[in-house]
Amino acid sequence: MKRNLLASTLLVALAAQAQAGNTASSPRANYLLHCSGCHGQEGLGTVEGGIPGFPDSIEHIVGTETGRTYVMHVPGVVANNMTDAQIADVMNYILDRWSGGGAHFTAEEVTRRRAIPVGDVVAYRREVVEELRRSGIEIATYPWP
Amino acid sequence: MTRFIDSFLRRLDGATEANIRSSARRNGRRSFLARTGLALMGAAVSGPILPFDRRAFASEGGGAEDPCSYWRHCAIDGFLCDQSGGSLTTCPPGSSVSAVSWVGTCANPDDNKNYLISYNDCCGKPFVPSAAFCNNNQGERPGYQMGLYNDLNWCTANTDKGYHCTVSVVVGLAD
Repeated sequence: MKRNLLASTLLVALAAQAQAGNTASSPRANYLLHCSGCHGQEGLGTVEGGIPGFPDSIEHIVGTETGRTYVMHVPGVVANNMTDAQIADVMNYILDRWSGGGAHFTAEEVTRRRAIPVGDVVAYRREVVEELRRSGIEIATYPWP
Repeated sequence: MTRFIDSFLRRLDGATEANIRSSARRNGRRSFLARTGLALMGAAVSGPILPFDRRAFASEGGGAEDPCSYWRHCAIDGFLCDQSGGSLTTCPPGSSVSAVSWVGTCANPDDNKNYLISYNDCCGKPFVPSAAFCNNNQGERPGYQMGLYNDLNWCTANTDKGYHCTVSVVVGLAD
């Protein structure tokens, strides 16, 4: 099980994308290119693979300070070569599609939050989960220890 | 894992350096230039430069002599499912499609547009040795650029983690 988790951790870190340059310019195409490999075209993720889904989750995460910084440090954001403005556009596409009105990001906010050191992103997510739990909100299943 | 990569890179560096030094001792720069010039001139004189269309059969799945040259396979790394009992876009019976995938961009020579292609692995059965193995990987980068690395088993996120073959599914226009 541990080996599977390890392999899946690596997998998460590889948020799939093939093109070295950003051939896509629309947020929808960049979502498909940079995020959908792991999160899926419907944003549902996979529990077995340890990829959290967006529905009923992302809107709560971006509703907190810690959560907004967290989403700027997930593997798919860290490991792509989009500009901060493109990251903001893709994030807003995700919010429009799966959050029902989560507050949008600007390129400046993306730049600022990406510069904040978070260290272990799995541990950082636990802080976000705990904060939301204190408000009675549960977010997507996340199996990492 | 990191130690293994470090050790491998150190050995690679050492072997490359030894080869270059040995080569530098054996060959002078002038002799290299002379021989290269001669070879280029010889090739220009003796080799006919024929016009040919590299796109021939590229838009037809399985129609080319090299099945890996089909345009949708531009970033594939795996055995073709259409030669493993499945099709270009569907997994063979008895296997399951991977929950995660590698998504790439390939140009369709028919309309010169870029399409987003999802390379899903099919999982849960052994691979078919007679199926063509394609290792095109256009746009891939080595493991140090993790987000652009494709050399792994995408069945890892499935319950059945055994690799069978890979499908190339168009998921959208790279607009």
